[in-house]
Amino acid sequence: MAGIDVANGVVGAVIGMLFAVLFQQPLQDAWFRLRKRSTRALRSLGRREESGPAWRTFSLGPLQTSALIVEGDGESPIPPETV
Amino acid sequence: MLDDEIELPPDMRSWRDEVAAESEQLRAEGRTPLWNGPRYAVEAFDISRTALDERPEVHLRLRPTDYYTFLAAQQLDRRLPDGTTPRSRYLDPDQPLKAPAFLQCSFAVNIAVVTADDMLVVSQRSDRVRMAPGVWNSSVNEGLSRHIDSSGRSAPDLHSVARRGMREELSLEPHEYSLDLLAFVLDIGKRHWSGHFYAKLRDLKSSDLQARMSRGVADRWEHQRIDYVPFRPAAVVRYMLRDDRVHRWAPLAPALFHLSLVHAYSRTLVERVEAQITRRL
Repeated sequence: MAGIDVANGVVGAVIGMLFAVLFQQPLQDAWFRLRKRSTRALRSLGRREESGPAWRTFSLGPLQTSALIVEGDGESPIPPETV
Repeated sequence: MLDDEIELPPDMRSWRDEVAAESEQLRAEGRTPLWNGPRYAVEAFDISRTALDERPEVHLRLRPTDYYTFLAAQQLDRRLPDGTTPRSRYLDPDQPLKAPAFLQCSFAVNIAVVTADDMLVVSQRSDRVRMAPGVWNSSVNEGLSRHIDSSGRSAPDLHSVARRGMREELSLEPHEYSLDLLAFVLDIGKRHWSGHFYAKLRDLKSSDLQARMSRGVADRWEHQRIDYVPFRPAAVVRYMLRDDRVHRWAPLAPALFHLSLVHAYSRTLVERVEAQITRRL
């Protein structure tokens, strides 16, 4: 009987090891996806439809200004002849 | 350029008379009366794109006005006889570009000047100026003058106005710097228009500029202090957000410095630095 128990234990260990090697990554991925989806679903419960003006004044962190950049992005200068 | 002068609505005309009376009172007391020079009001600002290369084409329609009218129309939150204010009666927050010309009696150029040794010039407005005294501002701020910047009915050239500002406020001549118009910006709080420029000095370092200014500046009285800030994204952004600066800026200056950094260093780098610094605040 003891021989059979040892053999069962060894077979179980081998199968467990094989299972872990073969399915560890897919299982981890699935668990990660499940956590991510549930977090997103919980967060989205508090979200509402949003709408804002296309024109917003310039701000930089706590620095809020009433300056509206109407034309120009800094990268390309506006040629004098086009004004 | 349009011919007819700006006219204030009937119930705002007395406000201009008050400004004129205050000036006369100052004169009678032997003090300096209020300056009243000819200026421009912005009747319309339109942007289109060229057909082939889609470059911007900016159309400005200007109308004559004067400084007293500007001062009267700056009282945007003063009550009118019917209980409204100019802001509530004439301005729609959802359409910031729409406003009657009499509320837009200011067009100026603002310049970010960077010296040859890469120092950004930042000025503090004098306590003696009537508009926004003591606030920190661009290197050069020059209003369009109908008397100086146009001959007859010809429209003013913004680059020429910028060069005049460089000469009057920093004693710099055109051959000493390059000049680029970066943007048109509107302060929707006070309805001030601005052409935002970037000027890079070719040879003059910050110490040379200080020495130059010590030998005489036409409009010295407009500034009471000048800071020289290393013109690198992190240094400029940290300077703008300093506790003793963050709430002391003229409304149009921070956008000017941001656009100048983008012009010199690229949008990607400047945005990344700004995000890093604001996240750590």
